[in-house]
Amino acid sequence: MAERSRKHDSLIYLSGYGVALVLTLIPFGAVAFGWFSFTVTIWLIAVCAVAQVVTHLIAFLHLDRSSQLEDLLLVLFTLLIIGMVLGGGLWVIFDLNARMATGVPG
Amino acid sequence: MSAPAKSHAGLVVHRPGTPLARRNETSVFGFWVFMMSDLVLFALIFATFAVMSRSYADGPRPEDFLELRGPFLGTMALLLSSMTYGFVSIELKHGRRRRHVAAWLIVTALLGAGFLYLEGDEFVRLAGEGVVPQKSAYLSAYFVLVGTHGLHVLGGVVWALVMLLQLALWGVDDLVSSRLVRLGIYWHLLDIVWIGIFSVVYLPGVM
Repeated sequence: MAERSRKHDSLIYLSGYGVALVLTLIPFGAVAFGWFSFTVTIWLIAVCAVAQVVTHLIAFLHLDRSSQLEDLLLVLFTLLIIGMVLGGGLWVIFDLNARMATGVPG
Repeated sequence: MSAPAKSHAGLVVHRPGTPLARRNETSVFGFWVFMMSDLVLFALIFATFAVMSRSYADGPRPEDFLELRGPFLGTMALLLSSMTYGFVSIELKHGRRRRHVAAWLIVTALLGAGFLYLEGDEFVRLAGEGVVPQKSAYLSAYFVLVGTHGLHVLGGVVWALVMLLQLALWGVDDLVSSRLVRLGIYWHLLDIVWIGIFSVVYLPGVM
């Protein structure tokens, strides 16, 4: 296996930084200057956040298919647990709130 | 047997296949397990925050007291520090010169300290305005979420200082570089958690 050159490694970090910077500035600009409607802005924030997390995982943590299988499986398993805990928890609580019909929770 | 191109996630700083690389692989994998359990902790705090996100109890609302400027500068500092830590890893892999590794580590630690300063400044301002955790469930969740991340960053900065000391004492030896690889994983994952906090707490909070 040919070792990747210093230049190549640096380029990965620099381009990862560039992409992450853009993905930070877009939602920040949308919120700070009110470019879009509320719903569009919320979706924009969510999409940019997920894209930035993926960018960090690939460019900074080098988590891709060439890393050992168990590393990737570990991360995917953790995401599964988090999805169940976070998604399930919020589902139950907000459903409960809606059934209590008190209007504003808390 | 075809050797995998990479033995563990993260920048591989040891020549693959050597006993040292294998030992490093095991400790890095173990550290990933720890970081993932830490991520589950953060996920639970995020869930708590989401559940409490409208429980203001007639106390201050996020749009009344949150300011975007400090957290935005903090975001910039953390993002830049993630890249500068990348250069720590690159120096470890390609140069292995003590002074170069230490220089990027110092830059990273300073950016982390800058982030902590901004966060501390925000907390002091909020306390001065009477925005404190005991005011409402929302504020309790807010301070727990942001504070837990801040404590992690503080831990990372202290860890970086300890590594600087070890670099000064022992140079870029095998143990020191193995520890620096793990600090890198820790640092990058903290930045990922911050993306979540900035996108869930601050950006929607000021809208």
